[in-house]
Amino acid sequence: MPKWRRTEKNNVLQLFFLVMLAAMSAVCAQENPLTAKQILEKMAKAMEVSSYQGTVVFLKNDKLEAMKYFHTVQKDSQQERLVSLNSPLREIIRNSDEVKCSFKMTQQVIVDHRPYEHSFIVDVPKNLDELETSYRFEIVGEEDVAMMPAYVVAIQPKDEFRYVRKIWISKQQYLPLKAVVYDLSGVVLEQVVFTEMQINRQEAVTSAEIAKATPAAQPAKDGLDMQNQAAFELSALPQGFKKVFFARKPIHKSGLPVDHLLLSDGFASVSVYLESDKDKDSSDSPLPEGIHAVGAINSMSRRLADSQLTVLGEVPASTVKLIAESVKLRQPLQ
Amino acid sequence: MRDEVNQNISRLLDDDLGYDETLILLNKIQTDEALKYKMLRYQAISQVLKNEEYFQIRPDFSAKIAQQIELEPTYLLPQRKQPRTNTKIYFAAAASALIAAVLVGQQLRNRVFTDSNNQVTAATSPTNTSLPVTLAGNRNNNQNTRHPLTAQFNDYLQAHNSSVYTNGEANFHPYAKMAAYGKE
Repeated sequence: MPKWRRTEKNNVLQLFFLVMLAAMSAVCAQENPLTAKQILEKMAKAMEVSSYQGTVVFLKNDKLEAMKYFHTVQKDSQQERLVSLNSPLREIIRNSDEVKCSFKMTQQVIVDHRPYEHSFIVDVPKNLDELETSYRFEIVGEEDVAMMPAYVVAIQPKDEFRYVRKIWISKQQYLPLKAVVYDLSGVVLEQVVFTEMQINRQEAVTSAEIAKATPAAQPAKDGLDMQNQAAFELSALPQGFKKVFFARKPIHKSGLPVDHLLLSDGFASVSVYLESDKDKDSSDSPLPEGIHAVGAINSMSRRLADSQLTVLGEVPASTVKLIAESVKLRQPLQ
Repeated sequence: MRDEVNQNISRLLDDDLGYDETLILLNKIQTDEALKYKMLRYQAISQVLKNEEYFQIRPDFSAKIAQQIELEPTYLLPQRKQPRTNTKIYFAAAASALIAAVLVGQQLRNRVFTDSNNQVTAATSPTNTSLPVTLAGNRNNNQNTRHPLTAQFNDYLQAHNSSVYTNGEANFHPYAKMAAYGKE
């Protein structure tokens, strides 16, 4: 056989194997669907780059609130807008870490800074690797929400210091359609669900664009720089919980400063408040000591010298108790 | 005489007839088919008037119970006294069973009605506090107590997360405008 003929035959064989390899890769890709973690990561990215709107219902603290929701992405900035459908009529706009609430009737406008939150619907950290010490991610089913097929992803805690969460994520756009928080016995504590959703087609992004999206800006650390000024310190924290924000600011009408440290494990958050009783109005009765519950929120208050400590968060009572008991005074409040 | 019997049936259904009178009446009903059906008719009317619902008790309900009692096995253990057969006991048992069936039926209906009313009331009653304690919160941990929602605690909730914006809050403080958290 001439040499040129052998070379041609080899080329044909190589091409054949390449085509076979490509075909097998495609088949394997279909047979290896996304993991729960990958779906959650895609969701976090999709929430940053997609413009969409719909009607969303919040069930929190035994209250049902239906609102119109708009998420707009322009260039590098994104905006969330909620418009209430029922009284009190109001519009809430989140631009980066600023949340502005305008009441229609009273014309009152409230401006708030929340650098530690990113979404009214569901806050999912971009990097889920660190969370795997505390949570297990599982796809537990496929259901339709708002007439859209969705993956049901369960976020199962590995200990009893946090609650179970489930997120229904649309199969096409990887956007969250429903999020539910359950207590340790499986009772629904909080729920957010879209009853209808439209993707802004002109700005709709493809799956490839979602994959290319740049990582989200890290939460503002400004507050954390001040945490050494806190009048207290924590000797123990449940696994996975980290300090994400600290502020000393007036949060009551009295204008007296309150130390506020926010802890988070990525999904669940716990606030630690410490305030001095020294300059307090005698008519202000202190919060009763002990553990209390308000909806998904558990809290524990206790006395620390002349100060009152309150720990609260959407975590089991044992978590707030552990954190509250680990707080020690560092220096008297100024 | 007939009017008196009718009146007694009505009083029985209203749980307004004395024990002795009830026994006399039930004895009469046992032997009088017309009275038996009248009793059932009155019961049906009473139920519909009270609950707007009707469930029928089979006419042979008490007879079947009496029959079951008769079919009870005889204990063959040695007994000191020969038990005396008294037909009045059967009548009394059957009558008691009938009364129990009527009264329990009525109470069951009333309870269902009351419970459903309570649920509707609970679901629709307006709440005075700005952040009510939820049932889920109580289910969450029985050892926990309902939190007295003071302004101080509401302020804490508001600072904790943005739920305050999405749960119909109208009276939260505009303190947030002053919040700086060291952001120079």
